[in-house]
Amino acid sequence: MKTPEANSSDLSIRTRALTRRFGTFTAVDGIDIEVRRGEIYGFLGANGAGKTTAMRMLCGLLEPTSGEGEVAGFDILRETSRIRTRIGYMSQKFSLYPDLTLRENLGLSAELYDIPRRQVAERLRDAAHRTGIEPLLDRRTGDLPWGWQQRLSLACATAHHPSILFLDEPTGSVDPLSRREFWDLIRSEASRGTTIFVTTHYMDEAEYCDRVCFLVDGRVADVGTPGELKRRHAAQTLQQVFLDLARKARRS
Amino acid sequence: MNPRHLLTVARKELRHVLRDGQTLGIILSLPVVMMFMFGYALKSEIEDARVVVVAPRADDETRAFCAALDRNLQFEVAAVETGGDPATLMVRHRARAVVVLQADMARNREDGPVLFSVLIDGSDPGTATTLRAALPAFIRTQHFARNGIDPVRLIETGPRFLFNPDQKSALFFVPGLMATILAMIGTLLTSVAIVREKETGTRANLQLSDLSASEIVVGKLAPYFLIASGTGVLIMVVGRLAFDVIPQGSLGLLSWTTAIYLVVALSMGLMISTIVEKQQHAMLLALGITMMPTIMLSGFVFPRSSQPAPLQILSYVVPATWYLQIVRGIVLKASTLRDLWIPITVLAGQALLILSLASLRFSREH
Repeated sequence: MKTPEANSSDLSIRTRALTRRFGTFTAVDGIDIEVRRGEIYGFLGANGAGKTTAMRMLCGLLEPTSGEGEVAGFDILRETSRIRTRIGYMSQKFSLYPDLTLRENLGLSAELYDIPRRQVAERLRDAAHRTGIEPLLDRRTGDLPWGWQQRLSLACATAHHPSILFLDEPTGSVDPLSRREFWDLIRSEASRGTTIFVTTHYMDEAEYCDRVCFLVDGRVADVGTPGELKRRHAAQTLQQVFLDLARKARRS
Repeated sequence: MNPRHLLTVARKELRHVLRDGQTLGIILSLPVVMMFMFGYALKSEIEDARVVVVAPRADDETRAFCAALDRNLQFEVAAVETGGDPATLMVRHRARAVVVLQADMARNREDGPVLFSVLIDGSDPGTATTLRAALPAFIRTQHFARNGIDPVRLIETGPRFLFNPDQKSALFFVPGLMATILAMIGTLLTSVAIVREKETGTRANLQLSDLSASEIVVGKLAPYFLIASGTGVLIMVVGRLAFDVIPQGSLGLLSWTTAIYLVVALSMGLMISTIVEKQQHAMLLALGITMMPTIMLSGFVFPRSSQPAPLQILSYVVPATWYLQIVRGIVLKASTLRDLWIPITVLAGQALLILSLASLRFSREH
């Protein structure tokens, strides 16, 4: 790894030889990653490269087959319950209840975490304000277009003030304009000191990241700032870097 | 367990149910519709069954007999013939039975028995069984009455039914439907509610929260327990108002034994939710393991004693087998805890076993 050595207290996420097998298939194959506090860390790769599997292990939703890791200073094998309360998670799949109103969805996600009762109302107002969903709070969630639902998802994932926000292909089926607006929200989250760990396969989005990690066949193929990567691969765009790395893939 | 956490999950779950008008409508109307369907389908009482009387001579005695037969609410005289093939007559007069009086009733009154034969339409087993008992009994009574013998005293010697003297079908199907509908609704609602969250991905929200697996289980089961209890009350109320089913025994005993049965049903739903990944599969599995065994094996429709040995053994595993004994006992016989301790113990054992297994599997997934 050519990443500069970082003081471990500056790291939000650190893994050593993290591996997950499903039967004979090795989805994540001994990855070592280091994510610094407050950075936007892009996790890139083709479909099936192991992005979601790796992320689910970091969140404590999936047990690793071998290897170790720390998230927010806690062990991902033994301290999953402490990790859970310090992270926010927004999945590519829709994770809101369509039959509830926005207010109810938001209220529920606050209640699911032990936010002190006195602070709940203020937290919710704040989350709704940051994501701009205030005028729609009493609408039924399922009735709103995707872009707004994504904003609500973000509000729900951040209502308990997580120190790390995991975003699993957050802009999956959103139009380009909403995508740009959504990235503005992500960047303002990061500017408040939240570490952002985001998977995507949109290479234009990868340009917004402070650092990018390319995953190929469950292994880390290369890591660096978008500029470093482009220089190293003599490429104009991250798209070309991706194609250069993906050519060596055996899967897919 | 944190009560605030329980309340959060329970309130969310209740919102899903209340907001889904169609499901709620089905939950509330299904029991009522089924009760009325069974009320008429399982009806064993007969009313105005058409009967053809074949008598060699249309004398006063014959006319008196026909008039009496016609006056009885169970029968209606379709025709009086002097002869002919009974099968042909039955078809021609769309009758359920043919009564053939073989001798001159007036002459035989004092000296010797009146010979008669009763032929019944066997194509409808339900009506046939009832007619087989009712029609000869009526004719005998009629004969004794005419000869000055008190029929009541003689009939006394025949078999009588205790606990359901009129053989009202409602007294059979109301307890049976309690067992069937509560198992169906309890298992179905729970399994679908949990699997839905797997399917939509909202399960991760709960997994990543501060809530423990047991808080999620109890919080999720509580609203469905309330809804299923409400359904049980609805069945008893409709049974009382529409079918005159008045429980003879303790309502308190009925309530808490029903609560145990509901725990079994909800736990089965929880178990299913840990096995399947899709709502459709949950639905099919829930209906499969509750509806058919409850109707076929528990003794609700077919007597267990007439089932082949392997099915009888299987029926011991079906919770409804035990619950049915409890409800029938309380509703019909005013049975007490002392009479019912065996089925209650077995049912409680099943509740404990299935709930622990299902919770264990659920927490492993969590």
